[in-house]
Parts: sequence; C-alpha cells; structure tokens
Amino acid sequence: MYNSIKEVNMTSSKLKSINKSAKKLEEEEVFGMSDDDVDVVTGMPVGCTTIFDTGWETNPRPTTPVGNCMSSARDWTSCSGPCWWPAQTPDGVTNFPNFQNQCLAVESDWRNLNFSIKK
Amino acid sequence: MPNILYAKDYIYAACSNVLHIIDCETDTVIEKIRYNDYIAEGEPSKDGNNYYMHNWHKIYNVNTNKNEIVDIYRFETDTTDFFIGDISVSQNNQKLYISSVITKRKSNVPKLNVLPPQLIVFDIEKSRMIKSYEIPYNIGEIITLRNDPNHIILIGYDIYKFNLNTGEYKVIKKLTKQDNPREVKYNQFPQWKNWSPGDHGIFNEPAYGPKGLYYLLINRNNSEISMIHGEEVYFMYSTVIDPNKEYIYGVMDELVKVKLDNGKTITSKLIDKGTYYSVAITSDGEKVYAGPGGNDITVYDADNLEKKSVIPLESDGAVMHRITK
Repeated sequence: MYNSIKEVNMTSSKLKSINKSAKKLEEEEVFGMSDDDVDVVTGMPVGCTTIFDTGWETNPRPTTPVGNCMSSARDWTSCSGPCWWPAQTPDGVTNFPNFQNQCLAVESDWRNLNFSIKK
Repeated sequence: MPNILYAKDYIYAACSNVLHIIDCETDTVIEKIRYNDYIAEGEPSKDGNNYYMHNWHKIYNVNTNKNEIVDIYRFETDTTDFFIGDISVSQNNQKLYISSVITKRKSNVPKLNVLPPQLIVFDIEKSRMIKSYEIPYNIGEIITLRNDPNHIILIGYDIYKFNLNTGEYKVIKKLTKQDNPREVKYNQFPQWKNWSPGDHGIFNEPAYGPKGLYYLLINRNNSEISMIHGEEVYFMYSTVIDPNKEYIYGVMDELVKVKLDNGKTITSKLIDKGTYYSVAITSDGEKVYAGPGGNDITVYDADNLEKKSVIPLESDGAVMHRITK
C-alpha cells in the first residue's frame, strides 16, 4: 500500500516559511531527535521517554485498561516525572512537585486528585 | 550461652512520602520513615549501612541501622535547577556519583542556560561536590566496578566506560546510536538497579531488539558485557539474578523465571495485583519480592513462583531494594 504513495522529500521541497517561528526551523535552531549527529534533548533533560520507545507496556488482564499505550493507575504516579504520559499526569518535576500528597495510592485515592483544577 | 549473630534480609520500599521497611522473615512492614516527596530511585551503600534515595532534585541519606533520615542533599539554588538522573554509591561507600542536568538562569535575563549533562562526584562525609565531568545525554544508570575504583559504567543511549581520573569515556556497547542505521538497535530502559544478595557482580537488565527479548549482562568484576537471547518475549521493567547465578527473575505484568545460561523460560505467573517495577530475592534464594508499582508488594516462592502473600503499602512507589544486615 505504501509503495503506491509518492515520497516527498521535504528538505528539498519548495515550502517557504511565512513567519518568524517557521524561519527558525530553516535556521536549524530546532533539531529532530532522529538526527544522530546532533545531541539535542528536545523535551526533558533525562527520562525514560527520551531513551525508550513508548508503548511497550501491555495489560494481559481482562480488565481495563486493555491494550498497549494506556497509562494505568499502577504506573500513574511514577509517570509524573520525565516520563511516558506528560499530558495525562501532573508534572512532578517542576510544576506540581508534591502532587502525591493529594493521592498517595492512586488506585483508591484518585478522586482526591485536583492538580489542574483548584477546589 | 554465646550470642549468635546472623544476617537478616529487609526490603526497603521507597514510596510516596513513606519508606517502608519490611522484615523478610515475617513479610510485614516493621517500620515507616516519613518525608514529603516522590522517590524516583534509590541504592543501598555497598555495606548496607545506608540507603540513598532521590527524587528529581535532592537525595535522602537513610541510616539503615537507626532507620532514620540522617541527611538530605539539596543542590538547587535560586538561580540553578538541578535534575538528578541516577545516583550510585562508590565501592568504598565514601562517594556518590550523580548523573545530573543543571540549568542556570540570570535573574535579569529571560534565558535559561542548560549546561551539558554532568557527572557529579559527591563526598558523602564532607557533604559537598568535589568533581564534575561532562557526560553523554540521558544517563539513567551509573554502575560501579567492584575491582576498579577509577572507572564506572554509564548507561544511556549506549553503554559507556567512564574514567574518573580523566573524565574521558568510551562506548563499550552500542545500543541505540549505531553508526550504521542498518545495524541492530536495542530498546532498553535504564532505571532500576536490583542488586543480587552477596553481590556476585553480575548486573542484568532486559533489552529488546528486532528478534525479541535479550538479557543484557554487565559483569562488574571485569566490565565485560554480554547478551543472552530470551527464549520467549516477556515485557519486563527490571530483573534480578539469584545469588547462585542460575536464574533471572524479571517483572512487569508477569513475574518470569528464566535460566541464566541459555535464556529459556522456566515458569511465569501473571501478577494479579497489576504492574510492578522492581524485583528482589532473599539471600537464601527462596523468596522473590515483586513490587511496588501501586501500593503493594507480592511475595512469591522462588522455586515455582507460587504466590505466598501480599504486603500492603501506604502509598504508590517504584523502588524497592533488599538490604541484608
């Protein structure tokens, strides 16, 4: 199926930047993580996501969450660092360093969690 | 009648706000040490007298004889952010090696200056940094060598041997940064360091390649690295080798027992409590502890992986270590 799709070489395409942010891309101020010769940490300084391909966690039980790439209650707290689910979990590194005080055991205390909405 | 002293195993489970100390004879929590933090990782000193655990910004020093926090090492200032990737205790128990990322800012300039990642050598007795070196990005594990105080092993994108006298390092095992993109890459998660009782010096972690699961073995006696191809693919966060160097026990959603010399699966059990991160084994090799992930640890018979008991914890955690004293 993919063979029928004509590949587009983005680097030699005629795309032109129309604002300052796009121009920065042309000036190579932003690098992709796949650029092997450039050691740039784009998101977090150290952490599993920058080393590790996400999505390997599985749930072999017939209960939710079923399938891959699902943050579950069991690893919710630990993923609050520089880790897998930065959008779904509070940022325990910088903005919510003591969020664990709201729910020490997430599986049973998750209703207490209000790191984004102040009561 | 003479007093007979014998060593006992304890599990130190560092969870949110509480460090649980578990007696491995009774499999009960016998003591709790409280703080106000999430703990990312920890490591016992080589003599077992201290347990060092860290969150993302500071390190707690726990005296395991008194079972109390005796020091907290903070590195941040008003203009410096200090992020800790991993810590390791030197073989003589006098220094900590810290993988860190330091960000500096000037109060009058709206710019952050992110320094290259640093390896900090920290003198525990003097409670201060004594050396720092530039290291590769994303070092998630620091491993000391048993007979070589001048080198340590760093694990990140690749595995490096680092010279503590010169600050130079060389790649001793390529994992992800292969020169040729067609070469095999290994997906590996350097986070947990589950030490074996007696410290035979063989450190093990799971790694994943295009042909499945591999067991990455780092020999801390001579810094040699080897890989064993697993017979079956299990997803594991971390592993531990038994004291007799016969079996590997790995854990994530299942607890798996694997023959060390050929990677063949002996048996596996689904963990009915849910995902676990760490695994430990007692000094006699008879009991395996899996957890925490949520707020519990499950105890298994090391022989057949039959569940023996579940130890409830007060809070969620990711780290557990056996300390024999």
